[in-house]
Amino acid sequence: ASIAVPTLVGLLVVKILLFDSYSSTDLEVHRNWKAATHNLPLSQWYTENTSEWTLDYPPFFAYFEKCVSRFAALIGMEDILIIQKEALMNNRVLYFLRSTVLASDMLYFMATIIISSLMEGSRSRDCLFLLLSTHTTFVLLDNIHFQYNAMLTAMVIMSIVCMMRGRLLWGALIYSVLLNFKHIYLYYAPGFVVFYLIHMFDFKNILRLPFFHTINEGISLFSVLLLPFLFSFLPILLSSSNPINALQSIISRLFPIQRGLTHAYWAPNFWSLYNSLDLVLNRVLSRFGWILPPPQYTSGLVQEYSHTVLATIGVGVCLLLILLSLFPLLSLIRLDRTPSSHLSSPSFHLLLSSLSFFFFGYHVHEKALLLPLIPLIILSAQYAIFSPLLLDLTLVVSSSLTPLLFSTPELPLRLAFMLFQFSLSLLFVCRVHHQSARRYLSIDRVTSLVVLSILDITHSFLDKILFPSSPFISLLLISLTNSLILLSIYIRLLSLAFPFPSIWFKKWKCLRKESVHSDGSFTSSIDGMEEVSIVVAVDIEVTRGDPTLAVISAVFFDLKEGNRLDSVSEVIIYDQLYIPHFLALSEEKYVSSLVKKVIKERPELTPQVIICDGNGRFHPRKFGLACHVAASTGIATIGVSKNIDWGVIGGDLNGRKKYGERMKKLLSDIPQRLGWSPLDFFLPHTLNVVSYPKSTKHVYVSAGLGISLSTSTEIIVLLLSKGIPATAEADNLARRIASQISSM
Amino acid sequence: MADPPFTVNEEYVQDTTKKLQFNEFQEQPRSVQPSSMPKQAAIRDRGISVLSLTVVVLLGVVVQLVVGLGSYSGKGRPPMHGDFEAQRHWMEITHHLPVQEWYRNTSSNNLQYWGLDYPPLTAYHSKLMGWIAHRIDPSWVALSESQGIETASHKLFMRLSAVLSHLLTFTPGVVLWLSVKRPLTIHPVHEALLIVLFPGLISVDHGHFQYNSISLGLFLISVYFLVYRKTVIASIFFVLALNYKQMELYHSLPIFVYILAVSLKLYYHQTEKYIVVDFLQSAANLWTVGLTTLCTFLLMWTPLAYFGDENTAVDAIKRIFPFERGLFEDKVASVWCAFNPIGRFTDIDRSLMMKFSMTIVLFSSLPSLLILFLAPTSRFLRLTLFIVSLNFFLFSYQVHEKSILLAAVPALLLMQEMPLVVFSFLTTASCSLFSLCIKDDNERHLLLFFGYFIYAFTVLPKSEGRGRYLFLLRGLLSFFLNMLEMYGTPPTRYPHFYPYITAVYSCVCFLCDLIYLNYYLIQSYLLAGPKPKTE
Repeated sequence: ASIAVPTLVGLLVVKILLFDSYSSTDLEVHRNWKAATHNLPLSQWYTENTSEWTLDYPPFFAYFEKCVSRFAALIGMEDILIIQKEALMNNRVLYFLRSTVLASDMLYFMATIIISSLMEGSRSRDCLFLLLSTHTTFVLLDNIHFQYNAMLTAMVIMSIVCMMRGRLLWGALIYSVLLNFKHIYLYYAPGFVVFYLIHMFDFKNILRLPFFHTINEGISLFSVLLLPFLFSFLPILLSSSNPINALQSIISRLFPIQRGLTHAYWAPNFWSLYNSLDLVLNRVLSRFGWILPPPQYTSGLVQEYSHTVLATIGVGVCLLLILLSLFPLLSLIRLDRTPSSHLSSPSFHLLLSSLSFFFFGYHVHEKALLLPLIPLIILSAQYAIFSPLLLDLTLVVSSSLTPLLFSTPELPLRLAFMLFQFSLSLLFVCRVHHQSARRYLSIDRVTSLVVLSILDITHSFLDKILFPSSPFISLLLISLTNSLILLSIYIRLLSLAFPFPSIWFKKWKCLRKESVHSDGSFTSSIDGMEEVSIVVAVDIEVTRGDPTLAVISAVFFDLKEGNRLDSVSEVIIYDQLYIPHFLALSEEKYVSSLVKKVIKERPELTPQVIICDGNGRFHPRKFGLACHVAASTGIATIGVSKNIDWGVIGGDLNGRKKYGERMKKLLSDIPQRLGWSPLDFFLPHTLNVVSYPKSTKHVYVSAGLGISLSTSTEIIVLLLSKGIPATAEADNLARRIASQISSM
Repeated sequence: MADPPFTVNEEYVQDTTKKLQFNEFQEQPRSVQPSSMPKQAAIRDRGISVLSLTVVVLLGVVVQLVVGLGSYSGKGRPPMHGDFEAQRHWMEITHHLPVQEWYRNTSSNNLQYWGLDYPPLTAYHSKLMGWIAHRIDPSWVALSESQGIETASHKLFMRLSAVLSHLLTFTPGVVLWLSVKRPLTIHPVHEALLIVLFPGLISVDHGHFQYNSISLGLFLISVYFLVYRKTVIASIFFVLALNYKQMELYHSLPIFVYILAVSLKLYYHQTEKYIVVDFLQSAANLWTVGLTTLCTFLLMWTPLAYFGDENTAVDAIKRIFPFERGLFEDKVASVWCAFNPIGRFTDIDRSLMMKFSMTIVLFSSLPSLLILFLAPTSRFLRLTLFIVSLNFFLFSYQVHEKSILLAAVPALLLMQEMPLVVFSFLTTASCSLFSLCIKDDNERHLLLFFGYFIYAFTVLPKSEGRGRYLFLLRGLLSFFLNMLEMYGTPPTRYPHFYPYITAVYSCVCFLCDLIYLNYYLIQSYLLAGPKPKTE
C-alpha cells in the first residue's frame, strides 16, 4: 500500500507528459465511434460508414463510447463529436480522449492492486503490483498509440481473480462481459472451457458425480454466460427493423476476413516464419532460373496475397492448426480439481490458449501479445518455473511493438522502454524467486536482447542509409527473431502442459546412461574408511506454496574430526516429475551441479563421498539417485532413505501388502541402540538398516557407485556416533530456508 | 518389469521368529552434542544491487526522454530563441570557425547572438557535437544559415545528446556516490530514485535544454574521490567541471579548503595539547595537488592558445566573466532580487554592489569553511558545499534561477543524514524553477515537481514526526504560488507580481534552510569536537 501512492502519482505524471506525443489513427477511430454513437440511434451504429473507421467492436464497447460521448456533451465538448469523413484533430479532441484513457487506466490500476493482494508474501505482492501497474506496453499502446487496452485488461485480471478465489460464476460473468467489449478475447475461450471443465465440473470424475448436480451447474454457467450477450446485442437488434440483417452487419464488422494471412508488419508467429521461408525459397529459386511472381507480402499493405513457392494459407488451415495446437491444453482435463498446481491455475490455461491463437491465427496483430503476457506475469509471480519464460516473452512483446512508434521524436523511447521493461522484469523474477540475475542471463537470452536492441537501432536510424532498396529488412529480421523466441516459449509451455513426450525422452536418456555405467566402469572407488576425510550430505526441499521452487542444501562434514565444516544452500527452480523409480530425473542434475559448483569455487571442500537422500543400488533397476549422482560427478556416493522402496520386488504395492507386517516385526526387534543390521530380507543383499540410540527411528543405507555397502554403513554410523545425522542436517537446513522463503 | 531384480529372502518368511543380525557400534559414543548451526545469511538485502541500479538509471532515461518530447527554451520565438539555440549555435561556431574566432566578435561570429561565454571544455564539447551533427546532417550546423533551425530530427539529436551526456557523466557520479558505505536511513533504492529523478535537473537539462549534467556529474565524481581523500584525482575532475561551467566556482571554496585541510598533516600532541604540522609532508601534498590542478588547467587552455592567437584566452576570460550584466536576471529567488523593493539594490553603483555582494558571500561562508578546515570529514564537506553554494546563490552578483541546481546537487548527497531539510529544500528549489518552465511552454513540468514531492513525502522516515507536516505545508504553499503564477491574473500595475511572490517565498525558504544548516553544522561540530589525527 505504501508504494501504491507514489507509483500512481508517477504514472499519472508520465502519462500526462505524454499527452502531446505521437498518436495513431486509432485516436480518430475512437473519436469517430464516439461521434457515431452520440449522434445516431442504436440501429445505425453498425451501418454508419461516413468515415472509413467504422465501429468494429462488440456492442458493450459501443455503449462505453456512448457513455463517454454523453459525458463529453455534458461538459460542453460537443464540437469534438461530429461525424465526418476526414479526421478531426485538435487539442480539445486530443486532451479529452487522452484524459478518458487516463481515467479508464484507474480501473486497471485497481485491478493490479487486487490481484497482487492475492499473492503470498509481501515481496511477491509488491513486485507483482509494480510490474503489472507500470508495464510500459500499456503506456505505449494506450497512452501513446491510443487504445483502451488497460481497461479491458482490468477485466481479464478481475476474471482471473474470481477464478483464483473460487468464485467461478463471477469469473464467467466478467469474461462474458469482456467478450462483449472486445471479441479478440475469444483467444481465451478454450482456456476458460478447460478451466471450468476441471474446476466446476470435475471432468475426470464426472461420471461419478450426481447427474443433476452437473446439469445444475451447467445451466447456471450457461445463463451467466448468456446474460451479457443478451444485454449487449438485444437492444441493437430490437431497435432495428430487420434484426437478422442487423446481426449480419454486426458479425461482418466483427470478423472481417478479407485481410490476408499476416498484417503489414508480420506479428511474430508461425506465419512470419512461413513467409520468411517462402521469401528465401523465392530468392534462391529465382537465382536458379525459376520464374516466380515477386512476393506480395513485403509490400507493407494490408491485403490478401498468395505465397510464391509454398502453399497459400487460408482461414481454414489456420483454424485447423489452432485446433490441433489446443490439444495439449485440452489434455489438462486429466487433472484433479483438488490440488492447486501450476497446471490447474486459470492463468496457465488462458496463457496456453491465447498463445495458440496468436501463434497460428489468421491476420494476427502484434498487439494481441498482451493476451498471453498478462497471465504469464501473474503465473511467474506464483510459480518460479514460468519466470524464464516471462523474460523471453517480455523481450518479444516490447520489441514487437516497436513498429507502432515510428515518428521521429519517439524513436529512442522504444529502445528505452524495451531495456527498462526487460530489466524491471528481471529484477522482478530475481526478487520474487530469490535468484541471482546471473542465472537468468543465459547466453541465448543476452544474445537475443543484444540482437533485438541492435535491430531496433538500425530500424530507427540506419535503415534508410544501410538498406535503401529494402526499407523493411530490419522489421523483417525483428519479426523473424521474435517468432523464433516465441516458438521456443511455446514449445516449453506445451511440454509443461503435455509432458509425456519429454518424459519418455528423458526416461530413455536415463536408461541409456544406466546401461553405460552399470558395467562397473566407475573409476574412483573407496576401499576403506581411512580414505575418506570429507563427506557431504545433500537434500532438496520444495517450498510451501510454490511446487516449482526448491531449496537445495549441502552440508560438509569432516569425518575424522567429526565436525561440520560448512554448508551451502541455493534456491533453485525445480522441475519436479512424479515418476516412480525415476527420482534421479528430477533431482540428479541439481545435486550434481551444486556439488560441482562448490568444488570449483572452494576446492578445499572437495568431498570423497556424497550422501544423497534416496536410493543407491537398492533400486528396481539397481541404479538409484545416488548411482546417478556418482555417475555424473565421479565421486563415490551413498544413498540414505527413510523408507523402504517395495517396488524392488516388482508390483508397486503387492510386496508391502504381503510382507509389510513381517518387516515391521523385524524392525521392531532391532535393539534401540546405535548400530546397524544387514537387511538381507531382500536378496541380493544391498541394504542395511541403521538404528538410533534410544529411538525407534531407522534409516536405510545402500551404497551408490564406487563404495562398498559395509564402508557406507560404517560412515553413516560413525557420523551418527558423533551426533551428526547426515541427511537430516541437510534436510533441516533446506527446510528452514524454504520456510523462510515462503514467509517472505 | 518382467523380472524384478530383488527377491524376498524366504528364510524370513518361513521362520517367523528369525531376527536381523544386529551389529552394535563399538566405540563408546561421545556425549551427543547438538551441532551448532550458524545463522543463515543466505537471504538478506545488502545495499543496492547492480540490477536495481540499472532499473533506476533506465527509468531515469525513460523520464528524460518523455520530458524531452516537450518544448524547449525559445521554441518558435525568433529572433533570439533561447538556450537550446545557444547550445546549437555554439556547435555551429566551434565546428566552422577557427579557434581564435570562438570568443571574438567577427564578421561570421556575432557575439550579440548567443556568443560563446562558457569555458573551453564547453567549447570542445560543442565542437565534438558539431562535428557529429555535421556528419549526420550538415544543415543542422550550417554557418549562420542554420540559425533558429527547428526540425524534428534536429531536436531529437539534441535531446539524445543531452541524455547521453547525462548517462556518461552524471550517472557514473551517482553510481560512485551510491557505492560509498555510509549509515542509511532511507532505503538505497529510494535514494537512487530520488537522486536520478530529481526533476529540477531533468527539467532544465531535458526540457529547457542545457548540459548541466556534465559539469555537475564531473563535480559528483570529484566529491566521491574527495570522500576517499584521493585529492589528486578529485582535483582533476573538479578542474574539468570548472572548465565546463564557470558556475562551478560556487563549489570551489569548500573543495579548496577541504583539500588544504586534508593535505596538511596535523598531529595532535596528546600530552602537551598542541598541534604539530608536518611541514615537509604537507608541502609535498599541496605541491602535488597544486601541480595537478595547474596542469589540468593548462591542458584545457593550451589548445586555445596553440590553435588560436595570443589574445584568444584573454577574449575567453572576458566572455566568461561578464560583469557588465545586471545584478540578477528576471525574477530569481536571490536576496538582491527578492528584497529589491526594500533595499533598492539595483540603484546602487555596480562595482560597489559587486564588491558588497562578494564580501557578504565570503563572510557568510566563513564559519562553515572554518569548521571544514578543522574537521575535514565527508559529512562536513557535503554540508559546507551545500551551505556555500546556497550562499552564492542567495548573495552573489549576477545570479540566474538555474544556479539553484549547484546547491541542489550537494543537497542530494545529504539525503541520508537530513532527509527532511533536503527534501524541503529540493521542493522549493524545483518550484523556484517553475517560471522558467512557463516561459518555455513546459507548464506540465509542475507535475514532475509535484510527483517528486509526493514521492519524497512517502519516503520520509516516520521518525521525523511533526516535521513531515511542516514539509507538506511548505511544499504545498510553493505549489499554490506556482498555480497562481500559471492561472492567476496579476494586478495590472505589476505584471510580474506572481513570479515575484514565488521568488520572495523561495528566497525566504532558502534563507531559513541556510540558517538551519549553519546551526546544524556548528552544533554537530561542537558535539563531535575537533579531531585532528592523534599520534
